[in-house]
Amino acid sequence: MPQEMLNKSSTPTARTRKKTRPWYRTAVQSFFFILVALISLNQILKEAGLAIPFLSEASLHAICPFGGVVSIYKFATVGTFVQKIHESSFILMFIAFMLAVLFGPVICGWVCPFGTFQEWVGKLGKKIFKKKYNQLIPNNFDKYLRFIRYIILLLVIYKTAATAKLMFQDVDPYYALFNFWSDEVSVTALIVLGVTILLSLFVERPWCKYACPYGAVLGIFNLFRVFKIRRNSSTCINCKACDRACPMNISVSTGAAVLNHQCISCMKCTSENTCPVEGTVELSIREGKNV
Amino acid sequence: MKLKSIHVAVITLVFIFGGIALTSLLGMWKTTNDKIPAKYKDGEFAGQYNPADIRGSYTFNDISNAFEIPIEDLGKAFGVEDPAKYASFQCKELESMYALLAAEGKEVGTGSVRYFVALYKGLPIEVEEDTYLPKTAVEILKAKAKLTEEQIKSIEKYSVALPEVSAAFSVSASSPENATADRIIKGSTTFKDLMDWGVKKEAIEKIINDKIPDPGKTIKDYSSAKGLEFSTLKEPLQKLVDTVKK
Ligand code: SF4
Repeated sequence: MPQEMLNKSSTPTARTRKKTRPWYRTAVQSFFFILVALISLNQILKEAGLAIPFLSEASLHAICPFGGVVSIYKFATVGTFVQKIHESSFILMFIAFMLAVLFGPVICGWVCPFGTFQEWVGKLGKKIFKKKYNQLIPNNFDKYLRFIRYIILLLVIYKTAATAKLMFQDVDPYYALFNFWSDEVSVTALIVLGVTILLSLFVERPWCKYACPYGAVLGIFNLFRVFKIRRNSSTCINCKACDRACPMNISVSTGAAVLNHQCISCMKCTSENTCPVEGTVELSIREGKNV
Repeated sequence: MKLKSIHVAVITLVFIFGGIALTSLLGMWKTTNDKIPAKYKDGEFAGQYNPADIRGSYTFNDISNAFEIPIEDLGKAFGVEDPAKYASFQCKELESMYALLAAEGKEVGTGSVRYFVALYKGLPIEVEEDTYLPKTAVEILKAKAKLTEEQIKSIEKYSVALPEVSAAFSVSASSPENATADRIIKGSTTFKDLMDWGVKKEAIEKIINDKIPDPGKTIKDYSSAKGLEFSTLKEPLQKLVDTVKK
């Protein structure tokens, strides 16, 4: 049924309008991508005595909040951090947790440069596969694959606690992307990066969906975050535009609030972005039934 | 309450940069470890951390991180009894722990840690005559490091047994002669300490051939600032201290 008909027949009073998509998220994502790329570049420039003024000379490990997460065990038992991790990682971990309590994994959807990078590669995938893009893996199979990241999380925490070293670096495609020139990057990490790039052409954010241990941690906050993505069923016209817009393939249209552990708080499904009916899918505090 | 993406954008930026600004003001924001030794500038080992630059303030955790030596090996090698203290144990603590051995001319201190790390990692280092290793350290090195026959002979010769070490430590902690035993020039000894022990300012200045720059400065730091080995000043100054004792 054409969309206008749906609008007219199911919600005669709902106001629909043409979308002018807000650019704030793209701006924030681009800002963090450039910032992290420059900080990484600054490491080489620093060694050549040409460091960019006013820009942090920190290593990528020092500004990665996941470093704080893997350090928790060591910090709790001996009061120190694992190799290459510093106070800054711990502070960023707390900031990310505070944001996650409020909005869920905004760090994944708005800040993480590796998520942004996958989205950018995905734009090319969308051009190639059109509507089939991000719909290639059957849901029955896919929903189980989404839990692999929790297994990876447990492995990373166990390995880091046992060795007190940053074991994840050896497979981390994010570190590999921003340091591909460095001999600190392992071949395994470069292979994982290559596979992720390739998969991003078929699936949106494959690393986030199936493998990212930090996404797994932040995903848990979706269960109890304060501001949730909520759908107003009384104005909803069941066009399923929200479902189609969701990069994480969440079925937003079937419930009153998104509690799915995979939501990255990108707000693509909202009335501000995609939903054609104003005030129907929103980020809000209001109580409702869950998806 | 409903939020739009502009709100999420602003709140996210405020949390991240506000959090960084606030913790920087509170002196908590640290992106580097200031306990990182200098690297060899040239030669075969260029780019690797130089154990000679390990300072007394370095903890075993700092050393373990920089040189990738298991922290248990460091703790056991130097006779730290409680494994929970391995990570936060500072090299300079060895100097007071083994103070009486130093009085016998067998120093187990930061220099010993440097020596241990260099041998463990197969890196070059120059050690002072009176630098000793605990027997436990020697055993760990023999089991885990690639040592030449000559190095094995040397570390066996310059080793002290741990029971000796513990006894010395317990004596130093309880001996009534503590006051005298404490008057040993260590890495942390300042010019002021020497003067407090009764050494005349002029006598010190005669040995260092210079005015005392700042009484609070450690003799060790002064030596490195002047490009001298610590032992070059430590030995004659210790003799001076010993004369005062008598
Ligand atoms: S589109 Fe909506 S449901 Fe899907 S990840 Fe983004 S915010 Fe979450």
